Amino acid sequence: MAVDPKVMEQNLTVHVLPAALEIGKLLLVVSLLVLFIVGFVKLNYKMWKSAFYMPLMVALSTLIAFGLHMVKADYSMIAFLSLFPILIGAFFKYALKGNYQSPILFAAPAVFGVFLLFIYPLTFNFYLAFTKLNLKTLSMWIETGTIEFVGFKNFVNVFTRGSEVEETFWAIFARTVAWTGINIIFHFFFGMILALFMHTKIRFVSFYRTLITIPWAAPGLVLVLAWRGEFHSSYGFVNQLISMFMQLFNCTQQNGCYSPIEWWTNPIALFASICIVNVWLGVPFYAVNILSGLQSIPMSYYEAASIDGASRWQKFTKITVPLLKPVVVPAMILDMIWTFNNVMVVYLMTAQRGGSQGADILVSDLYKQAFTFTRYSFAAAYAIVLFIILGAMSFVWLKVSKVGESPASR
Amino acid sequence: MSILQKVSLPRAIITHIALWIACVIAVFPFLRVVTISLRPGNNLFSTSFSLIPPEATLENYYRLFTERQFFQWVFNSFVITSTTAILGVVLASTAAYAFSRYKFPGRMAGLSFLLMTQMIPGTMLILPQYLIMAKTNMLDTYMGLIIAYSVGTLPFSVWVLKGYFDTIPRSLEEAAFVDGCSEMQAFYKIVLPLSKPALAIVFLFNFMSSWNEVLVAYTVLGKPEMKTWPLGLMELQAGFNVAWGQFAAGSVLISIPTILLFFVSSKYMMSGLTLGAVKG
Repeated sequence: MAVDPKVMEQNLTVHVLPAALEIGKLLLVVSLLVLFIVGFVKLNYKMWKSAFYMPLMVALSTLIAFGLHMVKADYSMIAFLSLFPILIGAFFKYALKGNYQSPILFAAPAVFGVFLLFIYPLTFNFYLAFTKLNLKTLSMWIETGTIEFVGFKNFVNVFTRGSEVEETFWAIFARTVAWTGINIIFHFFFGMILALFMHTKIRFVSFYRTLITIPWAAPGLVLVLAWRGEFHSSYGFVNQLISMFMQLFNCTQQNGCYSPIEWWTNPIALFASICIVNVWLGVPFYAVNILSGLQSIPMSYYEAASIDGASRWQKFTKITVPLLKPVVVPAMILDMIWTFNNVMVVYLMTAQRGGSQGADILVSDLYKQAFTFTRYSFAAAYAIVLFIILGAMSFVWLKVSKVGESPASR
Repeated sequence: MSILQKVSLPRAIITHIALWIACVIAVFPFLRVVTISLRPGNNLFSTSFSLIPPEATLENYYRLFTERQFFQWVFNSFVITSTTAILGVVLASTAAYAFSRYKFPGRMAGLSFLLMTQMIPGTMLILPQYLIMAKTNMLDTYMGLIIAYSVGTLPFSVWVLKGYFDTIPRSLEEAAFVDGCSEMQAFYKIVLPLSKPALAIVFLFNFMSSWNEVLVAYTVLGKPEMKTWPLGLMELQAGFNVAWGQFAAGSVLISIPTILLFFVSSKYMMSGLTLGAVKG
């Protein structure tokens, strides 16, 4: 408890002023931008008929390109931003033709902002994938805006990497598929069981439901890091439970009957532990969704089936399952995308002390390539490959789930 | 729920037992965090299973407050998160109104573009965002992080608000136009006040998603006094001297309001959505 009073006071004070200044600055910038956009749109509505309109926009483009070049901006940024006035000009001249002023004014600030902040990073990522940017070339790029161009080398590297210390792309890919499959199956299985249990007329169901939702409600970081501690080989409760269980069979560490699992360092155990944590985190989402799906099925369907002499199993497969499909399929597609993209759980479970090799999935490996190993261009190419995989996967899933859709729903 | 059949006693008992086990599994890791936070000294190193340790103290909480900049972390998170949420609501509401009420060239393109932003994995954006911020000197600022979060929250807000505005009858605004309202006035005098529940939901949702965000913050923020609470807690867990007790104390303090907020917002979510449906 011997904390230096000065340090203590420093830790107890909250620096409000810098934050207030910066937020003030941000709000000022945003409101100026909104005013600018509104003014610009109005100006365009006045100008679009004039003969000088398009030439003026082209001139504006050149001006932006020149200005950005002077401040040593990146080539991709120059190309991206200088195209804007020409595109806007074409839109006003050939699509709007002076109509629709109010909706354009209403929508412009948000859409334009998101477009800029979303499409530009993607464009930049694409550009980056064909260059050679790493920690060595970073400062040069920041100062001068130039990077060496290397063509498709980074993409080739994504597929050909792999050595004694580094896993191949396909090994990680296979693990990711296993990870996604395991998680979805267990999420669905346990979620379904819990939902069926909660869908009965007993007391305290809402109390149970609240407690069961805790893994969904509490901050993920806290839970993942807490779980990570509980997988400690001698002090975590997981291994303690296992040893208590083993003692029932007169089997302890002392008599050499078994040795505790090293969850943190053994890659397979580490991967298993990550799966356990993520399954635990994801079950409540399914349980709540399936429960609300179950509650929306009218009881009269079951009564009618009983009159016709249907067994419980028949009622389940012929009524419950088909009517739950519209709830379960979207939840599964969402879950597939979330699980495939789940950097946080894997990264937090693997990144700090202990083994980091042998348990990564594609996205967490991508994150580490970018920020732990600072191979920026390589990571950019890697990200594009992942994006294509994910797009193909979602597309196939959507097709498959549509084909099987039953016409039996109301 | 009332239409369910009454279950037989043995089945009811089995159901209660199963749900009790599920609840214990769901809550146990969190209860362990509470226990560790109450243990004296800086250790997880105990093999006892009792919920409240025999020599429980609040020492870890005291040390968290005095040895770490815990309040600064929470403050940073709060500033970043609430600014993101407010910006999301304000900027999104006008855009959502345009998409809900008007037909114009580029409407479908704009809507699908906004939806597309939600489908692209966040990991793809982190690296280019980081590098752009490095180039434009925005690393280690509140601004950079708020902008990075807004890219995700704005499109979501536009979609939710558009869905809600669609349920408000047009005749209300038409009546206002007859009385001489401008389009802008009709929007903020009639549509906005009617949409309070939807605005609250969007605010809460944006708040929650940025409040719990870790990875973007982890790349963008480095300075100790800029850290948000997730980074602070991560720092306690990193390195050779893991401050388990302080980590647990911080986790408890952060989790309780977050969990409460989650339950409040999910309740709002239900009522807000049905409200909209009934009106339309």
